[in-house]
Amino acid sequence: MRRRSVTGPILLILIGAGFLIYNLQPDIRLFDLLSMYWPFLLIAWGGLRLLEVLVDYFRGDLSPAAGFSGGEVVLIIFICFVGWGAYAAHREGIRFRPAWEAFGERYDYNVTGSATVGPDIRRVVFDNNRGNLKIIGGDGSVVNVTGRKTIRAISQSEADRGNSGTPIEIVAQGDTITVRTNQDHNPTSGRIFEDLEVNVPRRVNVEVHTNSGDCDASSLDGNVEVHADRADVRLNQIGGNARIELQASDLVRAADMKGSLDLQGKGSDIELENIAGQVTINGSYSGNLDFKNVAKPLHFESPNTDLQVESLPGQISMDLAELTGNNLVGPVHLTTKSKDVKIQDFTNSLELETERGDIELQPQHVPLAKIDARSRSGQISLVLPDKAAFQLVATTDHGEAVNDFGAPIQKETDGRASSLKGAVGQGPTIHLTTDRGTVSVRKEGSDTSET
Amino acid sequence: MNANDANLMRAIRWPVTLITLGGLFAFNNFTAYGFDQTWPVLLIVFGLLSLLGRTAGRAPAPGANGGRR
Repeated sequence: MRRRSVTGPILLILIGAGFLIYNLQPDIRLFDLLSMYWPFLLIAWGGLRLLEVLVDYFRGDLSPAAGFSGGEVVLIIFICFVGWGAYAAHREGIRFRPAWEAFGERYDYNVTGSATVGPDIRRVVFDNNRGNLKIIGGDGSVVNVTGRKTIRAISQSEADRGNSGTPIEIVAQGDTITVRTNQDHNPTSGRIFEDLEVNVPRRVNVEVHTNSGDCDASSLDGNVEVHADRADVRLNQIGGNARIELQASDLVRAADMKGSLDLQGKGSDIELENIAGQVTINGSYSGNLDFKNVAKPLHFESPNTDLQVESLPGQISMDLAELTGNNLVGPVHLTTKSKDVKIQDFTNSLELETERGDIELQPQHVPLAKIDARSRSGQISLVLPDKAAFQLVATTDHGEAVNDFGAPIQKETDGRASSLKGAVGQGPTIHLTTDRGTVSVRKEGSDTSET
Repeated sequence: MNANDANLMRAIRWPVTLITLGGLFAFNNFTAYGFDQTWPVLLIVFGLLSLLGRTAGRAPAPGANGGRR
């Protein structure tokens, strides 16, 4: 009779060990690790089975029926699907919070603390490991902390021990006041989460270090710095410059800022509105990005997209598939891998390149801006005002060319390639180039065109 | 080649395929080669193993097909 496989019991042991590690060392991000390393589970499984087969073979009792059972095949397919999904989620910046984190009871404690801010204090630093932080600038001259600490523990005494081991500290040293939640000194294994509201004098610079939790800062005249592993950040009415570094976030929002904004890291949505200073964004963001009314240069750089505008009186919205813009002050540079691009109204010059995607440009004012737009695969359509003056070179290697401006523009067709060349009045040069797709130059308000 | 070798080839076919599958997913996660690009390797590996099993098992093992669970 054939021995039963040892793979099942070993898998069970591994799963048990995984849960145990997670319970004893919650700081190890087991589920993030699993989402990356799960394929090695399949390799180990295959290796074990291979070993079993070889052992049987050399013992000479290899069964001809040694294969995978239906249940195992189903489990393998299941692991592949779940692992694939977990990896995709991980790559998009989603982190796992397993449901059994909710084991144990919740115990709440009030947190209060305050310190006077002397005239030589210039900076307030927050060290909050897990929890939400709301920082509000005001006219007073104290740092005042109020809030709630939540501890998950199996008993009241365990929670009390956790609470007394993690007192809030407000320490002044040199020109800095540090507000520390001391969660890393927690003597128990209970999870601590702190929701704090902090009033600070509006003149100070604020610096936040946090592992996870949201950070709101408003009504401050100084600079704001946020360093977080996983956080949503909202800034409102900040007088100084802001610098934000994140490993993951669902939302970064900044509104009514007088200084510059520097955002680095990974996340999902970004909303910017009324930013008087320069904006620099560097990282990968998978959600909806909305930029409105930026007075100084804006530079957005992600693995797939590079966007630079001189200033943005209007709006730019983008997601992974599309970028739309309205009222941009150039020179505008945009390079992107696969996005449809629609831009209405821009000045000075526009340089645009997309690997895969349609381009739609609609400048609304004369004189026109200089335009250079390329797509490797996608149609390009340019809609111009009636009185526009320009010199045009538009080519497509595979596709049609459509012209609304009549005789001054000459159309040439060569096999599957088409081009439009010519000048209407005296104006800037417009280059439209696509490898595959229609190029069209139309007049505003006209729907039908000769081809 | 005897029937036992043929059995061995048949028996290692699935474990080796599983290791390949895990390897391709590991490539997907840690290198630029995505599973959507590398999956044909699975067919190749499985085909090769079947071929080896066939050459090894000229004299078919007892119940080569019917004996499978």
